[in-house]
Order: sequence, then structure tokens, then C-alpha cells
Amino acid sequence: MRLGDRALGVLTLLGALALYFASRQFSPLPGQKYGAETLPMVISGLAAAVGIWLILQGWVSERGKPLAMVTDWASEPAAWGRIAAAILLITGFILAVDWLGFTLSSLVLLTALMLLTGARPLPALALSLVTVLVVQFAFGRLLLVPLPRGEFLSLPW
Amino acid sequence: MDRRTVLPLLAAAMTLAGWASPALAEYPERPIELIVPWGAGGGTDAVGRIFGQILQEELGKPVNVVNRTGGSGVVGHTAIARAKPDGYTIGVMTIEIDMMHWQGLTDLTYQDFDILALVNADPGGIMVAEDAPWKTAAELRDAIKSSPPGTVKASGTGQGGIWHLNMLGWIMSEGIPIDAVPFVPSQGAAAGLTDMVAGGVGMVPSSLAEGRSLIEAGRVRALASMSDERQALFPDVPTLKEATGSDWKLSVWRAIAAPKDMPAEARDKLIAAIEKAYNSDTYQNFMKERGFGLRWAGPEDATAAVAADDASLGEVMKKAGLAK
Amino acid sequence: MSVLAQSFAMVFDPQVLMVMVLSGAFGLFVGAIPGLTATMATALLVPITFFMEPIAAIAAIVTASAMAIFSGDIPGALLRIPGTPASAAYVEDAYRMTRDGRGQEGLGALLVFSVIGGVFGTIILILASPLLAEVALKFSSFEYFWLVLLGLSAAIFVSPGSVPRGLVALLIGLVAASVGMDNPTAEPRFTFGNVDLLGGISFIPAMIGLFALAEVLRYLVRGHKLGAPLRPSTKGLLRSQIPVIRRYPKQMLRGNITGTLIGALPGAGADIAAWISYAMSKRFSREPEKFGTGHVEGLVEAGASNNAAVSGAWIPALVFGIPGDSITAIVIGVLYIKGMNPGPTIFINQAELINALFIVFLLANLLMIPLGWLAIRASTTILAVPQKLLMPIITLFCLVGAFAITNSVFGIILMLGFGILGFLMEENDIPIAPAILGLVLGPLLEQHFITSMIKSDGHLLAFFERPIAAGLGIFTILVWCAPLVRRILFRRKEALT
Repeated sequence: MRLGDRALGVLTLLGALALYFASRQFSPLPGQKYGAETLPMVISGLAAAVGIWLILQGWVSERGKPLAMVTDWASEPAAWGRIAAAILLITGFILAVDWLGFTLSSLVLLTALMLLTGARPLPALALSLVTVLVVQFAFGRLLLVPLPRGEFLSLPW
Repeated sequence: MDRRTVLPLLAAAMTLAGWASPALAEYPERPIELIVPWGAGGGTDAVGRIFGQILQEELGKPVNVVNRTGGSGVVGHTAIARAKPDGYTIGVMTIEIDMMHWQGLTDLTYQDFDILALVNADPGGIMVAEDAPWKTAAELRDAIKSSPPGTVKASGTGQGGIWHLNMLGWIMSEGIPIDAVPFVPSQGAAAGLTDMVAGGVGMVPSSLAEGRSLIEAGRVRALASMSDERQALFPDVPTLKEATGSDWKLSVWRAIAAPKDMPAEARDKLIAAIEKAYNSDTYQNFMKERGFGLRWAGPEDATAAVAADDASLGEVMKKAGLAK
Repeated sequence: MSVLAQSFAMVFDPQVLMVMVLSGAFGLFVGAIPGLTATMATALLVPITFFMEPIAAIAAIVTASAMAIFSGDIPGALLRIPGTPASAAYVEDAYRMTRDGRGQEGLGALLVFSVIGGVFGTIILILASPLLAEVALKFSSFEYFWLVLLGLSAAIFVSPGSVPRGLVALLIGLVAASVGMDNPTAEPRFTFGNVDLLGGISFIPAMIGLFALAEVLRYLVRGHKLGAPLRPSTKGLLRSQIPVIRRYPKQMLRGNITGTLIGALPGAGADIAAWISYAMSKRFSREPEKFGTGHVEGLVEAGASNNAAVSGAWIPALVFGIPGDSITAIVIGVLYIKGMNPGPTIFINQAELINALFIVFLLANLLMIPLGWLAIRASTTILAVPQKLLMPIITLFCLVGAFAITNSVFGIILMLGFGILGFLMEENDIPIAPAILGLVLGPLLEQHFITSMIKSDGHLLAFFERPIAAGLGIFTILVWCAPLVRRILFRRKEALT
């Protein structure tokens, strides 16, 4: 899906409005004209200008064209499925990692992603295992990144 | 599977589980995390890293420094307080814990922590540029009193940050109205000092250690130290009491703290190790060479000191309208 | 023995040399992994340097940080994951070159011009430290405000295609930058009561998401149609750069000088240097339309610039003990511990130590050639892995890298959010680079504007009252007006003929 200039312009303009109303609750510094609201207000003003610019530009150049174009992949349900699956897998990883631990959750994530991209199950599992162990050693052990240990399986490092 | 095979397997599994469980093994049996609520490269990070290094030798297990930054320390302090109280997560607590709850940023106070020890304290100071007209703190005070508000401006931390409060506490103790000296927020003392030397502001009320190289380079003049006694590194700089007669005192400190309700065995071991680390030559020399102040207080004294600062900072913040 | 001979003896000690090689390899490794920064490499080295002689300790840090800044370019060129915000400026060009099978030329340019920039910055450090440090001390918030604004205007120059779509990207970055309470007023904005959001949006997880995860998502929807990038060969990697040097000598020199000067300012570092240099390169180029499509010219100028800035950052650090960036902030601490107190007198009182430090600097940058070559050779093997296996592995690296910045799951959440955003932006021809620029420079712009306004009691004219500020301000306004003026002149000429 590619938005045309008019549609993107309207979106930008709506964003500018939302930002304007959200920043009205902030107050200037005591005794000053400027403060926490200054930057969001400036951004919202700029966004309004850019939005109008886009709408005008679209008015001139996109006459008679649809507001948005459907890109080639968007008509394939499988593509939508793959991207949704990847996002869900990462979300699952975020939710599970503190409880399941880095080792197990990344093993599941990596194998599942490889199946998603079309790798065969056994090589996918083997490669995932090696990668996870290497990453865990390099980051957790050598570079002291505090990867979550999880509640049950935790490797000796 | 019959019972004869299941039972030994079960027993073996339980032994393994028991071997892995921290309750039965002697503390510490795995690496310890030391959370630093400030970024890599700052003073708190430096203290945290040297402490971690020495604790590691004392405890025989790696002590890994983990920077959890942002939100003026709220993120890191929250992470320490909310960690599992198993002795494997401790952290460096800074004076900001006595400020953030007054500002309404969090409900977290020092009471949510088990404070194990105070390991450092740096008194606040008053610094001006070398070409400034004021030679003493008393001259600076009189200049602020006699000129229209806003003539002298100060900088050195963010809005409502610790050196902002230090400046407010001082001028309030001299009977000067709080709007006499506007505060220019900066990213830390170094940025404030640079701005002062560039002519942007009049004074920086940060610790003298932070201005050490500029003082030694003859670009910055130290007028006072907010401590009971003169500092060893700056013997020519009078205390605030000597300089203006004010009773205002403020030191930023760093403490080692843990989440509440740790097992007693881990707590005792940690406190003993921290005291040993504090008294080690490595730590003492490190702090002296970096120009950081040394101060020791055990769990009870440290908690009392943190509580006292909480009250006095809260008072300043309420009067200045910074508290919510 | 003369002072210089003494210094040479200090550096060419087998132990110091070994420390340099080891810490160089360490720096390359850390820098090449997205999410682990040059600052992190330095911080991890500090505890080890406690047990070293002064020169060995400094040598370890200098070598590791120089290598880390260069190797941040490698994942950018190979996988489109910029290792540091400084390499984000030209990642599009470097990655396109690899995709087009010109990876050897691109990586070679990054290596060679990193070395040239680093050496140039060091020479300026040796020759002009006290003088430049004096100038740097004259910079207050007014001057920085203009400099940051100039950096932000780079967004218009670096965005290929439609200008308003580039501005939309910049605005997205600026909005993200205003989240949190780390702004000059310390008032929490757009945090929705979340503690993690109080700390704002860290730009490295955001950057990993916008570039790398977005690339993975794009592969998932149509990767099989794009084909895999070719694995660049390292044969003639260095020799291929001789014609490039011959072709762009002016760009190289400009990048060197800009980088060193911006690096020497305590409030600006390698990031701003790279962006400004890239924009400058495109602005003055004879073929600006090629930028962003795999053109080496921008790599030459910006690649030299960010490494020159790393050396430049040492100027205020040595002369006044003022950190020029987060790496020198750590270094100053180490200098004190090793008894080398920074200050103008360090050049006289401890001449042999300072000379040894300069030699270490030159040596570290030269050591980058063989070590960097090996690193490129080793890392290009990753492109031999089939895409369908590589993309999941990249995802895991994105997760770990984002985690390592915040040391919590929050980094991964940010990374995922920005990954989806980056995917949507590219689908709509909204460029990524200006969004990163907004995210990096937005907080600086706000800080310098607000503090300047407090200092001047709200008088806007104060931005032109100080000589350097006035000069920078007029220059910025000229840069903005230049296209307009040119159009008017062009029309008039047309009308005349």
C-alpha cells in the first residue's frame, strides 16, 4: 500500500492537530516564555505546513488518480501472513523472555523464523541451536550483557 | 515405565535441581548484577565499575555492571527496587532517590530499598569563571543581593537537578529570594562549566571535583565548599561557613543498595564484602586520584543519612515550587 | 635520551604493542555488533586498564575506540544495520553498493577513509590542540543551537526524492525525540505513566528497528524476488581506493577538516560530523542525484569525517579535561587515575607521556589497515549464508543489540515498534535517514534553544549577538535561502535571454 500525496498530507495534518492538543497540557518554565511545550508546538506547526504542502502537491499532480496505490505484494495473502507471523513471534519473545529465559525463547524464535522463511526443519533447528549458544556466549559471557536467565533452564554461564 | 526406574530418575532430577537451586548452595553461586542508574562514562558509573571489580575479588564470582539509564535515574532505581531480592541484584543508589518522589515522577523512596552502605560523598561548591568580578563567596552573595534578579545565572544540572537545589538551598539560607538567580539547565556539570567559561552563565554550584581540571588550568575559581571541613584536594577553598557564615551543607553521595527482604546470609556476606572493598587500597587510591570524596556509613547510619537528605531536599523543593 | 626517543621507547614496548593488537581486535568485534557501541567497548576495558601501565592503558582505549567506530560501518554495508549513529548517515549508499556487487569498493572506501580521517585528526591534535581548545571553549548554547540547526537542515539534502516526504520523516524523528523527561524542563512528555518511557526513546534500538528489522520484514514480503547481495571479495580492497582518492581529493580534505573541527567541540561529536559532511558532500557534488543509490562520494567525505571527529574529541579532553564525547568522558577518568591530569600544562610537564600518546594514536590508526582488512574478510563470510537462514539470524542480533542498550526488554519493544514503522515508511517512499537525524538532533536543538532563551531572558536577537553565533546563524540562513536565491537568479537570467 503506497499512500498518495493527498492521503499522506491529510494524515500529517491530523498528526499535527493531535500533537497540538497533546502539548497544550505542558507549561512553560516558571518566569519564562518557553518550556516543555515549545518543541512539540514547533513540530506541530511544521507538520501542519508539510501536510498542507503535500495536499496541494497531490491536488496538482495526482488529479484523477486513487488516494492510495496497492503495491504488488499486498495482493498476496501469504506475504501478509508471513509479516504478521514474524511480528507475533517477536511479540511472543518479548512477553516470554523474562520467564522462559533467553536461551529457550530465542531458540524457539529462531527456529520458527527459519521455518517461516522456508528452511527445512532439521537444519533450521541445528543452526538455531548453534547460533543461540554462540550469541549467548558472546553477549552474555564475554560482553556481560545481562540476558534474562529465566525460571528453569539456565546455562552455567 | 515402572516404579523402579522412575524413582531413581526422580531422585537424580531432584539432586540436580537441588544442586542448581540457590537456596541450598552457598551464596554467591552465580554472577551478581550491579545496576548503575546512570550512563557509562559518568562519575557514578566509574564508582560502580571499580566497586564491582573489587567486590568480584571479594566474593569470588563475577560482578557485572549494568547501566539502566534515563528519566533522571528513575528507570535504574526502579529496576533495583523491583529486582528479585535474592542477593544477585544490587545497585548504586544516588541522591536523586531523595528528589524524584517529591517531583511526582515515581512513588519510589529510599524506604523501598535495603541500603547496605554509603561509599562516597562529594560536597557541593560554588565556582565562577576566572575573569568574573567576584573574588569570594561573600562578594558573590552581595552582588546577587544588590543587583536586579537575573543578573547572575547558574547552571550545572538539569532543571530541578541536584546542583539546582544546592544553589537554591544556599541562596535561601542567605535570605535571598529564589527568583534572584535563574537556573539554566545543562547536561551535567561539565557542560555547565564549559558554558560558564564561554560566558553563558555566572556560577556553577556543582562539586569542586567536577571542575578540577578547569580550576587547575586557571579558568575557573572555586569560592566555597558546602562541607564541614575543607577538602583535601582543594585546601585553599574555604567552607561555605567560613566564606559567608551560611549553615547550608549538601553532599551528593553514592550508596550500595539492594531490593528489600534479601536472605540474611546473602545480606551479611554482601555487607562484609562491601566494607572490605571500601577499605581496600585499590578503592581508596582510585577515589583519591579521581578527586572523589570518601565517606563510609554502614546500613543504619547510611539509611539515617539518606533520610535526613530526603527531608531537607523535600523542604527546599517545596519552597521552590519544584515539588508536586 | 631526548624526550621523543623516550616516548618511542614507551610505545614500542612489546607489552604495549600486544595490548594494542588485542584491544584493537576487541574494538572491531564490539563495534561490528549492532547495539554495542564504541562507548560500551571503552567502558568494558576500563576495569582491565586499572592493572596496566599508563601508556598501555591509554593505548588500549585509543585503539579499541578507533576500531569500534570504523567497524560500525561493516554491518551497515553488509546487512544495512548501522553499528553506530555516525555510520547511519551513509548506510544507504554503502548497502546499495554491496547489493550491486560493488561491496569491495564500498568497504575499501570505508576502511581507507576512516584511516585517513583518523590520521588527519591526530595530526591536528598534535599541532593545534591548545589553539583549537580555546576556540571550542568559546562555544555556548547560542553557537550550538545554530550548529544543530545546520545539522537538521542536512535532512533536506540527504533525503532522496520528494522533499515533503523527507520532512515527514524528520518530523517523525522529532516527535519520537520529545518523548520522556530528559528534556531541559524535566517535565515528562508523552510517557503515559510508563517508567521506561520516562527515559525517552533511545536512538540505537530505534535505529536498529528502522533499518535492520524493516529490511527483514521487507524480505519476508518480497525477498525472494530481490535476490541476495553478492559476497564482496577482499582482493585488491586497498588498491581499489587509489583511483577514489585521486577522484575525490577535495571531498576527502573537507571531510577531514569538518570532522576534526566538529569533534573538537565538546557539545558535538562523530554523529553530527558524519551527517553534516554527508550533506555537504551531496550539496557540492557534481552528481547529487547519485547519492543514496550506491555512490562512493558520500562515503569518502562522511567516512573520513567521523573518524577525524574521534581524534578531534581528544582536543578539549586533553587541554581542559572537558569530554568531547562519551568515550573521552571515560578516558578523562582513566587519565586522572594514571596520574596524567589533563590541563594546558600536560603538554609541558608530561611531554614524554603526551608524545607517547600521540604515537599511540598514529599507530592505532595505521593498525586499522591490517586489522580492518581481516575484519572485513571475516565478516563478509556472513553473506555466504543463504538469505532464508541469514534473515532470522539478523533478527536475533537485532533483538540482542536492542536489549544490550537498555539492558531490558524495553529496548526490544522499541526496536519492534520502530521496525514496523520503518517498514511502513519505506513502503510509502518516506526516507529513513531524516528520521534518525531528527531523533539524534531533536533533543540537542531543544536543549540549546531553551537554555539560550533562559540566558537571554527571552530575547531572540541574542542568537546573533555573539560573533561566532552570528556567523553560524547567517551561514545557516544562507544555506536555507540558497536554493530560493538560485531559482530567482535563474528566472531572471531566463527572462533576460
